[in-house]
Amino acid sequence: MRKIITIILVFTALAVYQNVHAEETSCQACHAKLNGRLSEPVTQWKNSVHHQAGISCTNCHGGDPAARSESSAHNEKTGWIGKPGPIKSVRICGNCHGNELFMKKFDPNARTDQLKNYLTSNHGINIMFKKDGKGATCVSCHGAHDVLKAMNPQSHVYPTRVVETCAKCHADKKLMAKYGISGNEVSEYKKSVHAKALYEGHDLFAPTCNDCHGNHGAVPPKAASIEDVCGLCHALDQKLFNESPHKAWKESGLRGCMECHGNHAILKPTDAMLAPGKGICLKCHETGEKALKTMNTMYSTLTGLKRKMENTKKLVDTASEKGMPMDDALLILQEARNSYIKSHTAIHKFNAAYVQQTAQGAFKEVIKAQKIAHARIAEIKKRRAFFYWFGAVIILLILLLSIKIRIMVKKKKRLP
Amino acid sequence: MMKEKMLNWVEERFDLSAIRHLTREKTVPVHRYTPFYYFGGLALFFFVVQIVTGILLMLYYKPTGENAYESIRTIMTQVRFGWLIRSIHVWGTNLMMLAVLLHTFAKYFLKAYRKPRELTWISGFFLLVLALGFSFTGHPLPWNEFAYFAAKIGTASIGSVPLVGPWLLEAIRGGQGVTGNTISRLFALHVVVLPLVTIGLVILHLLFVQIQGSSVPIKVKPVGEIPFFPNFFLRDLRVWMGALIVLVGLATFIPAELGKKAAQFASAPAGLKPDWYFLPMYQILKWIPSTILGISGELIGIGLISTGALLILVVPFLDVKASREEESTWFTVIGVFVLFVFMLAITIYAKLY
Repeated sequence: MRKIITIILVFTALAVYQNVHAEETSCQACHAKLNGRLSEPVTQWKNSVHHQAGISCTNCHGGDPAARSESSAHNEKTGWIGKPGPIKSVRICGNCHGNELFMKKFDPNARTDQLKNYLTSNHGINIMFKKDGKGATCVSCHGAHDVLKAMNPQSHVYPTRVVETCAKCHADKKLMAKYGISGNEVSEYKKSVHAKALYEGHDLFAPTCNDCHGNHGAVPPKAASIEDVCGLCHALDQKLFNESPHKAWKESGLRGCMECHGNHAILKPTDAMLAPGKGICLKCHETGEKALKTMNTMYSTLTGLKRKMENTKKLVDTASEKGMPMDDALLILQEARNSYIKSHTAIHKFNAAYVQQTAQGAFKEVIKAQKIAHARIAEIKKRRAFFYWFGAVIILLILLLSIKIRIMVKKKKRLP
Repeated sequence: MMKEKMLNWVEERFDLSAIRHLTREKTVPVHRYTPFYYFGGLALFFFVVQIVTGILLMLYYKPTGENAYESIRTIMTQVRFGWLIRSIHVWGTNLMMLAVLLHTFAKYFLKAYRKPRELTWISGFFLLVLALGFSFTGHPLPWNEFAYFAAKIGTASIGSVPLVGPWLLEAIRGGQGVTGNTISRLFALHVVVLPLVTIGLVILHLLFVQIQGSSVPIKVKPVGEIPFFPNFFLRDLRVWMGALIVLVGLATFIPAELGKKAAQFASAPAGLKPDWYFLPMYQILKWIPSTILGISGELIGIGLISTGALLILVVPFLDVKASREEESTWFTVIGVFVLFVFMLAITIYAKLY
């Protein structure tokens, strides 16, 4: 009996071992035992989207996953290619990612135009056509083994990480010099209002490198398309700009939005950009030109409105601190703020009358809020005056009462 | 002449001897602790102020989820002197609680609870509980953000009462969650049930005082006595007028806030804490872990608070020495450290942290 139990146990253990072994390929079994860069791929791949989708080592590297020895696993007869070079790696990725029928098995909305776009990009042209071997390939941005979906926060191309991914090459000044790129782009971007929105405001919709340059079809926007690229988000600014005297900028060779706002280090625009004698218009326009008069008028309209809004907010806060419900005035001020923002957008038409007309709405709202604040402050004064009178009358009554009590006490003392 | 005629007319129909006795015979002992007698009258004064301002607020207040906040906004912004009435009502709660607590402390330290005034102490204890009940039911009525979460957290602790807790919670909330139904129920409790019970108990409490007279502390010999009418009453009146100035001053300079309208799915505002008089209970519940030996921490907390309250209630029967007119130092020491120093310290701690 004991023998039978022993045999059953031995066979069960063997069956379990066989089962475990069957799930694990020889690639994983061997590479997991190796050190450093040879074992890392196993761990990385296990956490990747490819592992989830059942895409294994052999799909990219070839070889025999059932082989028991290194020589038979890494045999070119079994299609083993080792570490694919840049061109080969792009083709390997493209084999699946360019195959609609294959990709739709995993995601019905999956894109399959990546390779097509890549071939139009400077990265793709350098790698696939110029064959310089230095441009970015799929693995340069997505990783080789740790490939994750783009919106996975751990992915190399997740909005908050993509800038660092691009920086791997684009912050390398020596490498970039070969292509006539300064290599300062990333550090400049990090100073921008867009980076601030992304990193400090945690706004995942804030533009990063790929929002302006494209991702797979990455190209620098040419002068003709800058305005359209910015217009993707800043649609109203673009519309007004096209209605402005600057609409002829294309012919003059100017680079639209970039001329005033820059490209990577786009700072928060301030009224100072229109300040008389120092404004940004002076870059192109000379003293005495009509354009500078327009700039001065726009500046005084906007700063005047801002001052009025700030003063009114102070008044509203004062009334609020003294206990008056001021949410109606705050709501009006919020509307004024919206109109104020619209007035800033109106600048892009470069028409002083239009800016004044847009700001008029904000001025009206501010005056309304100011009137409410003044009325509430007057009401506070009235209430306090009422209290002083009321308090005085009660104190007088208390004094009279005290006199009455004193008289009563004295009367009682006088009694035998 | 006219007054006498009127009194005679009433006298022929009703026996006014009890009232005559009160006005002519009732006296108040004079000793160094006589000023402590003012606190009870002061609490009564604030209670009357709360009734008057409460009635005025009821003219405009609408106890429904949809209209409660808007009606308070109307009171604060549109109704003539509405802001003053509501602010007095809000500050009145605080000052009434202060007066009630001072009255309780004074009576405790002067051992006024001792034989034969045990029932006066017990009725007073329940009046203190009712005062807390008024605040508990009144606080959520403006239906602003703060009120909503106060109602949610406040009523949630009722749910941990053994056996009847879940039923009581649903009965008070008018459903599983805090909704407009909760306002209607709390409003009914605040303006009908609690006032009826309180007025009845106040009458009983005053009747006990009237029958037994004012308590004189142990081993204190009064230097004399003064008639209640008009001598002591006029002194009371003077204190009330002073209290009225403080009350109106607070209402004018720090009016009650309106806050933001309650939003059921909004997160609780930062720094949410109950009113100062609930802070000791809040802090005790906060300190106790969520479970102790498998028993709900909240239940243990409520058990501890209830035991403390029960001990205060039965103090007249525990302090045997005082009932024999002997000094009971231990009760004074416990009173100083547990009731006063500990409560004050825990309140300050809860307010600051």
